[in-house]
Amino acid sequence: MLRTFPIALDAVLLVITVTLGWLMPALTRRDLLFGVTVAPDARAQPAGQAIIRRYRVQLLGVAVLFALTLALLAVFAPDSWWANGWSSLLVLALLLVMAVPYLLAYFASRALHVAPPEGEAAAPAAELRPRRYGDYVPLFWEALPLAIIAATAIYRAISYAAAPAIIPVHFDAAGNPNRYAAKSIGSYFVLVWVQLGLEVLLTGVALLTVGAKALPGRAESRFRRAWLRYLFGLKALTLAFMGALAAVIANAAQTGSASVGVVLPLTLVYVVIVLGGAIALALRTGQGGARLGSPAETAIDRMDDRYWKLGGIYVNPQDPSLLVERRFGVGWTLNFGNRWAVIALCGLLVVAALSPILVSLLAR
Amino acid sequence: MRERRSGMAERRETEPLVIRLNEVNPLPKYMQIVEQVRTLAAEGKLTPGMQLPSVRQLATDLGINVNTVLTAYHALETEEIILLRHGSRAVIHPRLTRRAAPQENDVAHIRTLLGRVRTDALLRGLSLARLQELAAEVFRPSDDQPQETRPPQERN
Repeated sequence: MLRTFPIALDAVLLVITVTLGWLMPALTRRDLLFGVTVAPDARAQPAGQAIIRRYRVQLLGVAVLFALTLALLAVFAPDSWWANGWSSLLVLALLLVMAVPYLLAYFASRALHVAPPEGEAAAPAAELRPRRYGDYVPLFWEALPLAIIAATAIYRAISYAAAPAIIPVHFDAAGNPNRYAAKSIGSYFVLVWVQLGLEVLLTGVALLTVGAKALPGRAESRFRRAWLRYLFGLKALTLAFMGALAAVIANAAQTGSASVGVVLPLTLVYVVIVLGGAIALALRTGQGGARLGSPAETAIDRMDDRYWKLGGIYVNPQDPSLLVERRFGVGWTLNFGNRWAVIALCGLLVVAALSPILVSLLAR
Repeated sequence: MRERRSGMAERRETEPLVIRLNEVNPLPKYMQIVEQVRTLAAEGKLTPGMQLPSVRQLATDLGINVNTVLTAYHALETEEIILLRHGSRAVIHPRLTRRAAPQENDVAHIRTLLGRVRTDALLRGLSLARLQELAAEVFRPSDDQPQETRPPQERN
């Protein structure tokens, strides 16, 4: 049981990550190939097809390599290795190694680079209408995540008096408590505090996405609406997942062990819904709405290639944008030439690094 | 409420009002914004009370400095094309309404401007015939432009 869950999780993440990588060349705007500006029909030409084919073969090679590694570890690695969470490094390593086929394809695509027509290269365009969060996600929907947090808090408050003075706050992979804390508002409501933190963080991300650089065109507007609604669904689902965990932990305080039989499948279902939903939506929309509208409805990305390092990292100090559309991938990426974007990223990393410490402090 | 909201989104989708900056254009960027907003307002595509994007949003989308957009908005405010209120978005000036008929001094003003254009064209080596071609191209009426009512003294 100790190794079943991390193996299953790694296998699911491997399949989903490689599937997304496989699909990606078909999802980007038609004038982009591995982050390089190319002729709109370049993907249909033999040279473009050859680059995509080579990239996919190499990606499959990476997938097979990792599947074998996972299988070997499943057989030979001791339980303690799995219990300590080292397997999460496997996913990180996969993402790093997947960059190799991408970079090879990027350098090959540079041979197909075409400059936009004279005068159009530096002809940015903007739609003259304000963008507001409420234009994409009905504001009354926001009552749902708040209701989930309130329900979790009320549920915890009701069981507070009956809970023992010492409560379990951490569990091993088998569901046995391995850390306890004295009952307090901080420790007993820790998941509610985490929910509130996530609500603020994900709402902030959504608001930044609304303000991200937009190319004019109906397809882009539909694309932004679809992904902001996905982000909303992700927020509601994550908060509901944490609410379910709170219920399991409340039960564990009474019985002495968490119900692993519920938590592990629940986590897998959560991961599959979140990542599977992202793949389904990416297939539906394409990057920037490339698969949502006719070519006339999809604006051409006129950002200069020289600002895109290795085709995927945008560095333009002259551009006030915090977020711009990814060139390889679906969604938005930071403008690393904007100091506020870098500060925001560092802030996010600090919050991510400190949150376990903060949570353990609350749970004392 | 949802229907009304999605209805609003659909209406916006059908009327994209796009402004473009062009490096080849000799006008500074802020003037390109001013000219295009003026044109859209004159053509009735931007109507009184309509909200414009925030300075930051327009600067982000166009990839230009925030101060450039701010300068454009201030210039448009001076001309009473838009109204800037502290803490809220810029809107097309509520008093910006098309007159039912041009006044005599309006006609004189436009005649002076056209005279300047004629002089400028001749100085740049354009023939009058070429200038008339250009004028016909620029002044071609569009479907959504309301017809002007000429005052009685201009009809003779």
